[in-house]
Amino acid sequence: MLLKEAWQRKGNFLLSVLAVALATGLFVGLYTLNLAAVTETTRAMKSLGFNLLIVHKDTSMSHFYANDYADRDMPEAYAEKLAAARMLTVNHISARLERRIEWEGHTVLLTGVRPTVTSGGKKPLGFAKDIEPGTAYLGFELGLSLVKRGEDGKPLLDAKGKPRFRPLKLLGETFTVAKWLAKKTGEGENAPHAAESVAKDNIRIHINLADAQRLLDRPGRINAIHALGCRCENRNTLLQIRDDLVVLLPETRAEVPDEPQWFVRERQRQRIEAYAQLVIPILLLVTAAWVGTLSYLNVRQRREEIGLLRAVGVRSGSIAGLFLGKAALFGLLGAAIGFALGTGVALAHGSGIFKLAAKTLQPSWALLPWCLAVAPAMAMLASALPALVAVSMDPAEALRRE
Amino acid sequence: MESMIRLEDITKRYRVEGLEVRALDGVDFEAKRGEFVAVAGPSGSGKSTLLMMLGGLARPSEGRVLFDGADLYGRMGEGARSHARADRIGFVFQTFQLMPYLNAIENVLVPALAGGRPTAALEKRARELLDHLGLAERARHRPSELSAGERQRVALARALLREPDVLLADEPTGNLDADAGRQVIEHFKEFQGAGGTIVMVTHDDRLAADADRLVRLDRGKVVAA
Repeated sequence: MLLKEAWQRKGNFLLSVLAVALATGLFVGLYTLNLAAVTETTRAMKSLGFNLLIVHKDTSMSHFYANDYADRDMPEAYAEKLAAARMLTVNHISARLERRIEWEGHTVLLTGVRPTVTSGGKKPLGFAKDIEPGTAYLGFELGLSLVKRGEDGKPLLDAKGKPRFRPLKLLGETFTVAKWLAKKTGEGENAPHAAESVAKDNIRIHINLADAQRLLDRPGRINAIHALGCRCENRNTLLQIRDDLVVLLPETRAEVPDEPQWFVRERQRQRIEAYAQLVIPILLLVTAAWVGTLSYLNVRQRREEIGLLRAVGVRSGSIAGLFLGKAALFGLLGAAIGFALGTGVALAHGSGIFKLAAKTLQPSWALLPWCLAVAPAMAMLASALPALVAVSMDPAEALRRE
Repeated sequence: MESMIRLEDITKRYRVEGLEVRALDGVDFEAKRGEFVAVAGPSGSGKSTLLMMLGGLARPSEGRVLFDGADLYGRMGEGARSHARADRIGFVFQTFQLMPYLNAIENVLVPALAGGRPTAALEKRARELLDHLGLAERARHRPSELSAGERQRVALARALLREPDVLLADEPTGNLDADAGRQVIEHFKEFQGAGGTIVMVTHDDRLAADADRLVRLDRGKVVAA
């Protein structure tokens, strides 16, 4: 009887199926594409990596970007703790104590460094090992002023053909120049502030962390941890990494000073996900209103039929069952069509959108039983009010309309 | 003869655009077991309302409706009234009220189909009824493929499916030609002959002449009985 009635009033039934199919299709399509987007981001994260700057949580970032060092310090042990946590796959963690100091009439950056290589076998970034105590690595510009020159003005070279330097006097102590760092221009960096920061390395003096702590009177303290070449092990996003850091190192916060392109993309993905979370309930409401209206029209069309059913002794429950059963039927059909439609569109267009995740795009089969259960339930819920109208209809009035 | 169905001092009031309309006004009516009663009257006299009330489909504003001694609108709930309509009362309407998407035998079985699958015994009964009413060859035809007389006979078969005690007919021949109308009345007489009670609303005095008794209504009141 349900099927025959549905066939008799095809327009109403097909519009109801269409409503459920569109809602289900949109949901399944968004879900499938979002899975691909997450995979895409994860793969980009794994392949590209990013640098993380960890500073004390009360650090003024405006001060940091203006002066190139953090104005608050924290325990040196934090670097060890971060390395041991294996929260991230990190090639290189370096604990630093940095300040601007006056040197020979110039303001220079003094950086005490203690590198911690964490991923065995991988090529470390930055300084491969600790700077020996009592030695210094000079930025290019500073090296120029310390290099020994002959009478002809040319640099004097040692036996290995490297320039010779005068001893470096820093805050009352003397250091040997162990390395003169090449000139950095910042060209090729994709973020303007990163280029500027790299250029400032030309006026930076790197020394051993313990030497810096002694010179600056901050024993056992650091004011920055640089985690270089971070790669997320799973789908951790920056927000999650920050949350994890709050638990691991409660007095810190993480910044990404040179934000890679995929970070922007991940933020866009999260924004789209947030929009989807807003749109889907609205979509459900609109679909429910659509289905409810069609069910109500169906009840209106079948007034005399309902009156007749009451006249022949059909009980209210059975009459409601006719409408709810029909809702379950078009809900089930709409869910199946919508799943196929949403999956088809997502697979057809997803591979063009997500290059890295193209091969992982596949139907979200786990959603199918949910769709087949939830869509008919929602359709029945939307038809409940019209079914109630049908049940409470005055049969005498309905039959009198003839 | 004992009373099968009885109305006692029935009043039915409606409100139409704020004005009170009395469809029935202090009506007393009785149909005895095995009796064929015709109810006649002009349009708007309350005939259909009376029929609906007898079938448990319209609650009176005042008065009692006794069906085989039981107060239909007293302690009896809607469930019990549905039960009574399903098993003991058959309705026949002027416009047949057949489901256009079901064939003849399915229409006969509608009371059972709406609640699930009909029993084999009911299906057998439906086939026998169609056969008896001369519609055996039309069992798989839809209403649109049947003549008006055939449609009314399908509706009659539906009303008789559960062997009711009472048949309530609202202008059953109103849409039929004379021959088809006569045929329907013959079947009514047959039902009466088997002990059934019939209350038939009609405006056709010739058909009313076939009844045992004629009750005339005018403006909600019984004017002749």
